[in-house]
Amino acid sequence: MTKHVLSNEFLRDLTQYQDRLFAYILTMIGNIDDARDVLQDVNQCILKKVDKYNEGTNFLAWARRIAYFEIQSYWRNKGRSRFHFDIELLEHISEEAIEAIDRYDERLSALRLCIEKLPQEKQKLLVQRYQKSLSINDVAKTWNRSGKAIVMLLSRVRLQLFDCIQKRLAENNL
Amino acid sequence: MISSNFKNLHTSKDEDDLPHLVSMFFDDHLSDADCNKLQLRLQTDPSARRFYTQYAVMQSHITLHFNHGLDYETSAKSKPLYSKKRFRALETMTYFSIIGIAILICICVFGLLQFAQPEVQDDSELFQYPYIARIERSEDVKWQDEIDRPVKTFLRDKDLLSMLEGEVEVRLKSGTTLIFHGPSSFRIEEDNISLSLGKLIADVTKKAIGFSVETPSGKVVDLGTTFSVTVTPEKKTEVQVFRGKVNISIFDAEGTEFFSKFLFANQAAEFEFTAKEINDSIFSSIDFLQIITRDYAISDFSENNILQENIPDAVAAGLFDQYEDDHKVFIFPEKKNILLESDVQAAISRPGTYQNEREISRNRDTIPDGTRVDSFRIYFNPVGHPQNMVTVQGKIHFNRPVIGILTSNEQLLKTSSLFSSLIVDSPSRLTFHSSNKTEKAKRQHIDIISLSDDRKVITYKFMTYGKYVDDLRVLIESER
Repeated sequence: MTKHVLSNEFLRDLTQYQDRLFAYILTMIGNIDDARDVLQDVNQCILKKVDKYNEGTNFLAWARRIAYFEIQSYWRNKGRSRFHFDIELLEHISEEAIEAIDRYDERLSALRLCIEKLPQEKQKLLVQRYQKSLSINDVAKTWNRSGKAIVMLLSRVRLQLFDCIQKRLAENNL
Repeated sequence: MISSNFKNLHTSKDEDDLPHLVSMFFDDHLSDADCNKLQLRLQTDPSARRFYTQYAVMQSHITLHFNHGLDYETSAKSKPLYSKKRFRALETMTYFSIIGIAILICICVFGLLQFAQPEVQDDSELFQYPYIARIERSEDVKWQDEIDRPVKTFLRDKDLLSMLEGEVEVRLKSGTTLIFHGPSSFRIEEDNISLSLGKLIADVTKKAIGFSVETPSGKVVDLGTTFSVTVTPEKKTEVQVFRGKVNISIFDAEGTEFFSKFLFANQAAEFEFTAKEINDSIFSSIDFLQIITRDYAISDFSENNILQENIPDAVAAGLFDQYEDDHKVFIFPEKKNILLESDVQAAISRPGTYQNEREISRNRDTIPDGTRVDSFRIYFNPVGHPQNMVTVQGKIHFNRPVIGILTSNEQLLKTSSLFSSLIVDSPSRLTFHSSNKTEKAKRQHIDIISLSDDRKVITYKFMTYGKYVDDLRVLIESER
């Protein structure tokens, strides 16, 4: 194995863009746990290819390309799953994801403000699902509701957040 | 405008089930039929793809937002670096593959795997962007958003946090320690805190010089220091500097800086929300108790005590009329961990209350040679008129037992060469302690000094005239 001395800039970029890479991967995979695993594979791959990276060029674009191939590999290995992103769909989604991630910070700030505006009950639901990582069934038990009802409730909360974010982004564009 | 792209989705929400399908997709609750439906939609409808993508980015944001602490040490349910499934897969990998990857990662990336490791030596390796800080201590904290943030929770860059009550200690990636007192509201960044309400104490490491605290009308820039910033509900900013120096700037309504000043150790300043100048105010070291307790063998003291790290030369030399204040009793840390090479006479070393010259200032006890001690000077010098008596009282709690209190000029003079930095560094320096009043209380019986049963608390009541000082040296056991 060839040892390559990593520059501070490279390390900074690698750490700084982890969340954007995660967002990109999740967009094309859809499953949070799997997206985390793929991110780690991408990180390893980036480190192996560090000598191919030209300092000063667009790190995120370069890393995203590596991620794209890892994602393709993920879907290939998935074989005949119920849901499948084929190459053409991956290409389309990738283009859209790059555009969406361009406004990453703006979206994140908007999301935070939107979450703050949610009623406490809805925030609690998100905490259970995202922070405590409870399954739908476990959440349903704590709310004394059916799993289906919780899925529906989550869907409404997310759509409310989505609308709120879009509205804020639109306002910022004015 | 982006939202207009989804007009068809939004105006016909009742009919269009795309948002619900996407949501179910992320919850892994799609039926086979729904899977096909979503897949077909994404393959054929660009607008649906755009919606899906932006929804997915939001999903990643929510995931990150609610995982302030990707705390792999404490929560089995939090997301580990690898999923459980991946861990099972990893078990099947060959030993050499794992070792090879581990070495590669350990050598190349500082910290990518640190989340999974409970103990690390270098704090900066713990943090992986966007996590830039970690909660180190939390006492009775109530967060406004009701999210549980236990010790070791990681905080994200630009996290906006509000505490209703309690005290939380946060360590930044740089090693800088921040202590917030509730109620407070703040936004946290790697090298900047925006404090809109409450009190923040910052102990900034050398590598973080330039760290700043922004308040509603000003900015405090660290220049290698320990300082506190308080923002009141009226948006007034108060700044106290315990160590080093800071630069304070105030801004007009347009955000243009129009006044700035430096503030040095043991100084304080304040400015109103609409202020055009920065006013001096009274320094108090009580804000810095956590830092003091960490660095010295003192666990608490009354508010009228000022712990000042650098003893002024004049005070060290026992000169008169220096540091005059009718209300403040100064505590000056002196040398630490000094090995006594000969016996030292002490006036007080046993629990009890002592209240006249005969009780206070006689050499009744001996601290034997071979003892290791830390020394503190306690100094009260009132401005007061020579004819008017000034009274001050308070307590000092040490976290190790007091083994001797030295009160007489003779005791102070004899021991300055051991404990006073000034005299240790310049042995020829002349010292006086000529104005020490405790001896002069012979006929007046006007000071009271108590040492608690566990010998860790000194309670004092000094009553003195303006022409005298109360000057004590307290020796405590050194840390073993």
